[in-house]
Amino acid sequence: MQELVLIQPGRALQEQTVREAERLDSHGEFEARLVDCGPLAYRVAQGVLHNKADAEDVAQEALLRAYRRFDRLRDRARFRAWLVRIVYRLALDRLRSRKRRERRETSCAFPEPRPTATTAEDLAASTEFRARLEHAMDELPEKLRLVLLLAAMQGYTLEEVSGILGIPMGTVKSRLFFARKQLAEKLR
Amino acid sequence: MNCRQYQERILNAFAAGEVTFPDALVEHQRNCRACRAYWESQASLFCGIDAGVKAIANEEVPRSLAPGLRALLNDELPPPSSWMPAWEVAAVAAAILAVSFGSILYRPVRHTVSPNDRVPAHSVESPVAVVRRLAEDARPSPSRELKRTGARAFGHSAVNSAAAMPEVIVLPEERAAFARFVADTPEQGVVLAVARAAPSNEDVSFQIAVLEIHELEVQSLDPSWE
Repeated sequence: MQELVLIQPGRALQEQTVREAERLDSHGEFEARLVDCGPLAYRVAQGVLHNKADAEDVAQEALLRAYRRFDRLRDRARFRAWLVRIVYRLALDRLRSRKRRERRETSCAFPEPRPTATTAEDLAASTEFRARLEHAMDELPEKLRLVLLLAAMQGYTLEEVSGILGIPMGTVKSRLFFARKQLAEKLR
Repeated sequence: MNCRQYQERILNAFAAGEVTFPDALVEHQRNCRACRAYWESQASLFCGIDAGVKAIANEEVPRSLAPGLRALLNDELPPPSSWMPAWEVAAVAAAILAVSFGSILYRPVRHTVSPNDRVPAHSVESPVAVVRRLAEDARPSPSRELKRTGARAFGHSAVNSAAAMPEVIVLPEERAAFARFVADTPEQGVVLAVARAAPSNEDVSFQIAVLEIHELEVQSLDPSWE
């Protein structure tokens, strides 16, 4: 009988198979993290950009970057902190470029009307107040803004914010204090 | 402490999110109308800030986010790579087929002296005819009809009686394409192939009989690769 058998590079094949399996494991692990990290990424981006389309775009870009570099992340427990930093930096970059574009396109100054509503509900619900609040948040120093956003997110305690950002609890509290105070002064 | 200092303390207390205020502060704002008004305005402002920041920080996540991300990740994830690129596998498979055809067509006719041999020793029969006849013998007897489907063509009865036939060991990933190729071959019986997986865990040497191949045409087995 005549047999034709192809040479199979056994060791190389095994190594490749192992690499393939690791990559798929990594992919599966990353997909599992998307469930809670996707909304987190979106909300951080939205908190900076105040634009749904831009926020979604930035969140996707950040998660894609995180996925590409996922294997380089040694401590997987720090994934959320790592992702938040990526999203935040991308969102700030996007915001700066958007502002530059807006400055080029219009010379109109941002309107800063005085609040007319009196109750807290009215203030929060008023689009005017919302616009002023967003503007005031944009003017906050980056570190304060991120702490303010994360602390206001549902499901995140100050301890978790401290863990996500890798800063002491006292620092979180002081940043939150200064952020709120500066906002109040800007919105007064 | 004057009113300005009191108001600073009121602002700091609200900014710190304190729920209880020092007695002196409470006492002062009871008696000072300006500080009371400031207190109330700050209470309202911080409530608005808290509610507004919460609304901003907890924006509803668009439904398109998760599917969009999955699509991006799936695009990012390359298909499982084989140990050879697809075109190489196709080329090797085609070469194997061509070699097997060559070995069938150009194989010297064996003249045996066995009384069971239907081919007379003195006859000169074309290799194609010999192969076709052997394939005929391999068919199951009641129906005498070998279906032209790949699964039936590779049945055990065919395997047993094809011991003298050239055997092509087809890679597992090529088996389906090879089966289709055999099933679609117009000259049923000329090609009688036994498909089985090549050993995967050991290095096996490459054995090819010395053949002369004329008019070798290499084609992809799978139409989707074209």
